[in-house]
Amino acid sequence: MAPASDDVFAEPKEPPPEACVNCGSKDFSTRTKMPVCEPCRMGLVRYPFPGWVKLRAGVVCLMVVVSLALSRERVQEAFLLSRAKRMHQQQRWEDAYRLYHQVVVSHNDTDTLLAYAEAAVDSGHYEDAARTMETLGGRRAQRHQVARADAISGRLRSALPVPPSMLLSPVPPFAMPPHVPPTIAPFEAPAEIPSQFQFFR
Amino acid sequence: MFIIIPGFVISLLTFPGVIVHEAAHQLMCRLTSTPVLGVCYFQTGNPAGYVIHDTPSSGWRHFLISVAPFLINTIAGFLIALPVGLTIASNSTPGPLDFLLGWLGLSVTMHAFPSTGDASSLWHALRAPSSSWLLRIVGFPVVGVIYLGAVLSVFWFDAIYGVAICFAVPAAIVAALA
Repeated sequence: MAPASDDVFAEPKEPPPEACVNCGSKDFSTRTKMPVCEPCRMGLVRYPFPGWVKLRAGVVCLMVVVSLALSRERVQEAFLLSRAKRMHQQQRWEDAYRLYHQVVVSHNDTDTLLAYAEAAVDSGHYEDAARTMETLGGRRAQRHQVARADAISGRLRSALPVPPSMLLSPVPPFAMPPHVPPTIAPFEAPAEIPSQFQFFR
Repeated sequence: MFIIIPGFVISLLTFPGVIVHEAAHQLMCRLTSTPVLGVCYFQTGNPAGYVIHDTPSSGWRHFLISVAPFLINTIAGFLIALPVGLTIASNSTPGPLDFLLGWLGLSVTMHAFPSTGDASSLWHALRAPSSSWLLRIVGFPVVGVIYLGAVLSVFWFDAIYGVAICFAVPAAIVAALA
């Protein structure tokens, strides 16, 4: 009865014909061809799961619970983002803007922010667009992303009567200190020149 | 270019899937009142695990025992890796927990496909005179798919199946339902 494969029939070659191979009972089970009595057959049906298998099964179940808890939030975000992209493709800017607005905090990758800024510009939410473009500053971007950002910035500038930075939250007034031109002190030779420099006199 | 990695290395890297696979066989044996004579949940040899059981009392029970890992591993792996699939679908950056869940989900799903041993025993059960025509209609294509999967596993079909279930299906569901 060597286990030759994953899921193998067990067919004893020479079953003892007289008694159960497990307990010696004379009453063979009628529900199997194996030489065992019914209680022993039921014992085999309830073949025990080892403790470590139960433990690992518990860990797997725990992981499923953790995954479902994580998925609950992520499913909503994924649906919102997917709908936002669809609205964006259909050029329904206001809808796209509103959907992106709900997810940009957690999905702040460059492409999503660019899409959000684009939807914000085209739906007239210039302040959000300007703020988003400001947060993109300093990021590493691919060429197509830079081109897209330039296009959005251009549209934002042309749509606004003032520079985009003026739309951002007010900055406290900053008074420049009076300009004092640097003065260069006249060179004065030391009274005594150290001995190690005397060579250069 | 094909990358050939010994089977025991794959089994070692994805051992949770082997354990779940064999446990699924054993669980279905219990549910179908089929006596179990021995179980190996994991070993580095070939096969990586096995369940020795008595001949099931009907063809349908045999069918269920054979395909149980396919159903259980696929569903469990999908659920475990679902947050990772959603993270990928929404183009976000995965965290450390996502890597753990992704590995576990992929391990479990990779071992969903029944082995050729499962297919062989199911084939014999289907050819028995007592098996019904409905079981044969359902069972023979399944046996064919299992053998096809075993052949294609040389080309990483099991891994491709795991990646598809864990990472591509969530993205496809979101795209379809959004």
